[in-house]
Amino acid sequence: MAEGGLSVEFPGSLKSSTLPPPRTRIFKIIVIGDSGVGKTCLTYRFSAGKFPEKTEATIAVDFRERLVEIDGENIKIQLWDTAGQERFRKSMVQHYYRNVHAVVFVYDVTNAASFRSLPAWIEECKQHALGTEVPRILVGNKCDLQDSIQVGTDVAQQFADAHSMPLFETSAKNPNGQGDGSFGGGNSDHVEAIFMTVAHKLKSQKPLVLSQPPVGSGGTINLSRGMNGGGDGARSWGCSSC
Amino acid sequence: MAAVAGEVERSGRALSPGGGGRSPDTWKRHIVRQLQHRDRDQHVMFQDLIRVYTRLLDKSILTNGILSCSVRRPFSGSGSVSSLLHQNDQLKKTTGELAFQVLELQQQIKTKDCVLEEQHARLLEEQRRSAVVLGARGGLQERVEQVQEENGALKLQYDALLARQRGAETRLREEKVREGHLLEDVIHLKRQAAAHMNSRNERRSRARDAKLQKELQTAARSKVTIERRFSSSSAPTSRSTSRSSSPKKEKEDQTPRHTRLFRSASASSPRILSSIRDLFQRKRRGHSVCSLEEDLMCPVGVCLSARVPVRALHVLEAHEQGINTVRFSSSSDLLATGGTDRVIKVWEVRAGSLTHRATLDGSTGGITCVEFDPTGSRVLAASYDESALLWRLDDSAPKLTLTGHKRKVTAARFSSSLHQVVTGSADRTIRLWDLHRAACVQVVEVASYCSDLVCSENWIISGHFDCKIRLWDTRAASCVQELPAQGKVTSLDLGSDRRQLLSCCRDDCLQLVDLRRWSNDRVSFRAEGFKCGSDSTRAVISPDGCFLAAGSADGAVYIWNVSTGNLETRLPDKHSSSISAVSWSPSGEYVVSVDKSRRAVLWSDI
Repeated sequence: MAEGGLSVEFPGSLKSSTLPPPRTRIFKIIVIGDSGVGKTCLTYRFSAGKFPEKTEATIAVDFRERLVEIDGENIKIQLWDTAGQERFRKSMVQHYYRNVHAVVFVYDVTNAASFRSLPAWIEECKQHALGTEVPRILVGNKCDLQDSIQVGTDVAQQFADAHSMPLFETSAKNPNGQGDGSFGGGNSDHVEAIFMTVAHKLKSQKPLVLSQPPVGSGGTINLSRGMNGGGDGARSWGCSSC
Repeated sequence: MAAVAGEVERSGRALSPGGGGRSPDTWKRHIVRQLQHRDRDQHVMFQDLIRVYTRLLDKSILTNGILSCSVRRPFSGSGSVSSLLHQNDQLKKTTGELAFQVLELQQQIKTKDCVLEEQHARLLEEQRRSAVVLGARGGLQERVEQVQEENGALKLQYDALLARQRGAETRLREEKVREGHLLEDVIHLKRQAAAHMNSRNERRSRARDAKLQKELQTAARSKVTIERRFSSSSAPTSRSTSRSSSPKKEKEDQTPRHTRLFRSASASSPRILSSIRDLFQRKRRGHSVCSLEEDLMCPVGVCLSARVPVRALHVLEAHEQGINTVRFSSSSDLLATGGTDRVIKVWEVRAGSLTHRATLDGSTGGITCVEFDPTGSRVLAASYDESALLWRLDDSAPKLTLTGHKRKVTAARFSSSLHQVVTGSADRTIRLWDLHRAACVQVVEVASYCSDLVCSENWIISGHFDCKIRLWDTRAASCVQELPAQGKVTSLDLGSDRRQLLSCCRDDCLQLVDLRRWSNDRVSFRAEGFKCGSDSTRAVISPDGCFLAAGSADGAVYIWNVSTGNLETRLPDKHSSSISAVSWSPSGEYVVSVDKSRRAVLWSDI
């Protein structure tokens, strides 16, 4: 009874009412890349299942969540759609990378500059996410615009290999048409498939890393075991998809 | 010539004879005169001839001159004719040449004339043209002026536009600044959201972690758990301290745990003691009023016998201004009073006296009605400020303010489902509120000023100034039944068995209705001296349903016996002004009455 009263007191402050049952795991995945490469569209596509009518520059960050069921377990995929423009992301970066489970780098296949700035993003990720144990994937977006492609699949694949990331080429607008990236194209929705792949990977590799106790607690064995497993998983995963 | 000379000779001869006659002088003079006359006559005739001759002479001299000079060179002598001829030819030629020259010159004159004429014509033309051009110039000048005017106008417009543009630029700058601020704000909020999201994720993962570890521990120590009976209850409290999950640490972890458990127990012993006390109190209360294990939604109070108060235990000035309402909590140990001074005071009833425990403020108008919820942890009040307010007892600021009524709220009651509240107002509506959403969920329009209402399971019973008591079905939101009263209804009270409805009217009469039979069975209670003091005088039924209590305008509390219908007792002298409300404790022990002159009196039979 008293609890009911409490929820009246803060009607809209926390989304505590939308909290899933505590058993649900949350995978925090951040989507990083230049301004205008289609991060928002990709995440919207995954969370809402459709291409957004129109989008504006993301300010700071938008959160999109989707509950998926993987191997009978409900998992919440929490996508952090980050701002690409520097002025909208200043002082947000440490929040982006805090306890992140996977990083998705996005570039625009019709915009070579967005591909060229990927090393800078990877560098930022390295600085904040402490090395390579966090799974990372590379997504080339807008591959439905076949006529104006500036970044070839070969170049992108080489880059992805060099950074041991799997590469996906897709289009948030028309993901069914162009499934010719490194991922099999027979799926009904390629964008969904990409994120689901990440989720599968996270689920299979990180049963313990997910519950990382905060630094300074006694659970050192747990932590190191989890990290070892995670590191191996990421490496083997990166290679297998090449 | 010769003829002229002959004439002259003849006249000279004639003259000479005439002069020689009579006298030499006369006839000579006559002849001379004759001759002179003849000369005069004939001279005129020959004058022309002479003139012509001289001219001819002149000419011939001239011609001779010309000829001699021309003839002299070729021949001096003999061939003068040929030379003359020649000269003649020459002259002719010369003449021809001269004539030709004349012709030529004439020709030239003609051409010049032509040219002149032409030039005249051209001049005219030019003049005409210049006139035209002048006209055009005038037109152009006009146009120039016009255009200059237009330019002036355009310049003005331009200036205005410039000014507007400057203004717009200023605004743009301002908007940019504002945009910057807004962006800052948005980013700040987003940062907070991100931090919140992160901390939520962390909390969840920690909770998962802790749960996992707890499960691990319980699994590992299942034997121990069986031995110790308290471990199940202590596990949640020690969850945060039992971080370590290393199996090898398990053993040494157990002993500290044990001591820690004790330590924490001793440290928080007051709390534990109080909770135990609470438990006991609740148990005791469960016997008398309601048991905690039962459904809290509709506490069924059972008071075996209410004791009729006989004397005042405690008299005090409870508020700054007149007191409008009083109410016991269901556990009978708390009492709330609300007054015109806009505060609610909560009193503890202990050992026959009232101890001030808390003051609940936050209302901006006088309090008209106050009620505890069945658990005794919240207080609901209706206020003159057109709202109803909800407090938790541990917090003096209102937790919820329910606004929506247009006039003062006269009654506010918890409905049988505890997250709902019903209010009645002078604006002739009854509203149903959902406390979870802090929103009005239903508005019932009624015909008249609603002075009080009570709630039963699915009923709302409201009393009105149009001398009617109405029964509403909350499920249908419709008036099910109307019961006439003798006057304006000032208050309603429901017996603890929910069967008896007491109404107090301005005709100084209390009326008890059996709800099972509704209008057929009405009992009226009157007493000599009893006078309903105001439009909100509140009368109550004792918890055992055997007595009725009401305060009168003369400052006495009147208590009737329901079974006999007679006045049981009258408690005078403690109040100096009209009593506004009374409340009977659910335990049956106490009655409290409050009046318009700030006084509250606790009555009992002891």
